[in-house]
Amino acid sequence: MPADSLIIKAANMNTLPKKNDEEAALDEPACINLAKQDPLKFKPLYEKYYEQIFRFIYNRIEDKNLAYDITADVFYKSILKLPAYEYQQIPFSSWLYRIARNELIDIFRKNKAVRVVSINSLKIKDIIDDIDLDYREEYRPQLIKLIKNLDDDDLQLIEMRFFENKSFKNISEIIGTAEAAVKMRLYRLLKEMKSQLAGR
Amino acid sequence: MKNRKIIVDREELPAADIKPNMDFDKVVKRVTEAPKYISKTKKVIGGISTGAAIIVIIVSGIYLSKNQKNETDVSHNSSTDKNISKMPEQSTDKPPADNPIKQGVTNAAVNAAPGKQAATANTAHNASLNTNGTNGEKYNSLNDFYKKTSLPMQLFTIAANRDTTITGAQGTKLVIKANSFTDAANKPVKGQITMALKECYTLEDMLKEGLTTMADNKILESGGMIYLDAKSGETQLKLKKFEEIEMYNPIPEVMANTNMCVFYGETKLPAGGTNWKADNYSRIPYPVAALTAGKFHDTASIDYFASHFRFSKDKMIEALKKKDSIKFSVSFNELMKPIGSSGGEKELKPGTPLCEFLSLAANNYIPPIQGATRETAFEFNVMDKADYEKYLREYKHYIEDKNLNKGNFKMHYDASDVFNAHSNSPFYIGKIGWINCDSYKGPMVNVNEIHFTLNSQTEEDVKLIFYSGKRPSIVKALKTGNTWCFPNIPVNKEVTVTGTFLKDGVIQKASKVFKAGKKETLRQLEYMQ
Repeated sequence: MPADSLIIKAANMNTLPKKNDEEAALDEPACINLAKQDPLKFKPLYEKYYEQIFRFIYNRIEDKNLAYDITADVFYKSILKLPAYEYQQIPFSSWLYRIARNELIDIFRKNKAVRVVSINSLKIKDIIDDIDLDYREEYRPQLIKLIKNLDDDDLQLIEMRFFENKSFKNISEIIGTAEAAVKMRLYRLLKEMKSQLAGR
Repeated sequence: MKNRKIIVDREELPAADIKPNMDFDKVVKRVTEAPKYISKTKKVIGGISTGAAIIVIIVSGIYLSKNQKNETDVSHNSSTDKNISKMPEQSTDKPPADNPIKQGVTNAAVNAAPGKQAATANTAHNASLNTNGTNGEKYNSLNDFYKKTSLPMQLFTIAANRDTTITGAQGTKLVIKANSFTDAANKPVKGQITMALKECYTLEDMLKEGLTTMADNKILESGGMIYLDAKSGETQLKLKKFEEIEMYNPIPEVMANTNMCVFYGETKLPAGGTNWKADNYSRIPYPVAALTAGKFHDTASIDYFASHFRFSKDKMIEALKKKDSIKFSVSFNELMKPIGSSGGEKELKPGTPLCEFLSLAANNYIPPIQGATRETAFEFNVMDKADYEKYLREYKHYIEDKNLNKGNFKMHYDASDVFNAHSNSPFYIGKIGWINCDSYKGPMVNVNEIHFTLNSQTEEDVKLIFYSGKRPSIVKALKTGNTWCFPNIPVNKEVTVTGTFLKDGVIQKASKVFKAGKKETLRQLEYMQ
């Protein structure tokens, strides 16, 4: 073995994200089972996921108070539906996001709020990079306009992938489709966006 | 214009602002005040089941009217909200008989006529052209004839807003997502959709449909073709933009063949064959989740990996001349362990990031044989920067959250895409119509043209059929005057030329089997009444 070789052991190359102490401390399946019997036992899950679910909603709604109300509705419905939830089929967090997503769809369908797209300008550069174009300042407004007019399904894909840094696996669980299909869809979407940007 | 508001760089709410709004007690109070909240949940599930039952009745009704076996299997998955409806004639998930083709190409070709009696099989040594008349029925044109031989449509009624899986009589499985279809004006469709499906997995069925396996001038090997259509009432539907139907081909060898991808029928002229266009993005690898810890998968993935990153000596020499080339090498010498277990060393020479990426990927995803020592060596001494960047781009869209932040390398990769592409990933269909699971016929060194003349003076459809393993290729002849030509046919292959002729409204079929030899490029075939 050369002296300058780098030895990496399989055990050290686990690429899965490490759980933080709080996550490690919470035995989620046990907690869910208890909460199925007693809603009060739902509290640790509520505390763990409240902020991320709220942010998911607030990113899509302008009115902060409405976002709090919808978040409360999400947790209310999740406790009601908890007996039907099975841990093996979908991670609990994705299940909550799925309920939140459905709540939002309902809100927008009933015109109770205007759909907001919260764009992080730093991420716009990432998207341009990902669609394989050399960055040009003029692409920014064009891309924002493209995003604004995307279909709902495509918009949420861009939002979750680029603005919320969700993995393909997470996205697939939230929208209830195969991970491979999500990748494929995003790939095609970026290709389409590229052709629209480059064609201008 | 969508009614949306864009907010750029919106101020993020600090966590401290959010926490005071958490009121768990209020939520619990609502829950406990809801009348018998658990039984209400059960009601929701009951509602979904009823929806599925309605589909059973509709689907069964259609099958019964076709005098088929009444054995509809519809189940419902409450977590993913899917309906699964299955064609009743399909007895198992087995593929259609592993191609009747081997039983006699000629038979299949001749039998494609409707109402025909069994024809005599030709052999490779037959010297004369065999002809068979049909049952004497009169046709106005060959198209008219093919319309009559056309396979029956299998019809499925599905709910537009539900995920549905349909399984055809031959075993084609189609996974259709909710709200996948729109009308011509791109408006989403509601209510019920009628899906029509035809399945052509045998040569005989392909010929009955008048199909060929050519993509422009390239010859394909067919892994089977289907026709898929969707209507809402009388309204023709199409797949929503970027929406895809997941298709599982019933033939295991087709599923396992990574070269097979989706081709769309560009023109389907019954007597004129079909031109197919490849959809290069129609097959992508299994997700990481499909690899189960402790299970051992096909080690062929290593070959796939190597073929993607191996370079010819010439290419390397060329790259060496360039200043900005990337130099690296990687070698493995390891005791392989099951996925998910620890152990196994990778010896990596510090070099380029790609090397690390490959090694990491190998360590995590190469499916090993438990406890076996395997020596694997890959050496990529130098890579042209442009090539390197091309590969980076190629995998860029398959990003996962695996930050290999080493040295100058700050990309995210999902290595599973490199390693799991070797088999069984579904076919993704991006539009409906004629769909073909095909691969290009591999590089053919010894090819030749086959010419022959036909003095038919009729409307005719002449095709040439040959096999690569079990998969058929059907080539349409190019015609100049009375001379017919099939280009790029591998020499020494047993081929069958089959012709369908219309004379005075009567169909005649003829075929001849012979070996395509280097010096036998001209053959005189006589049409015999």
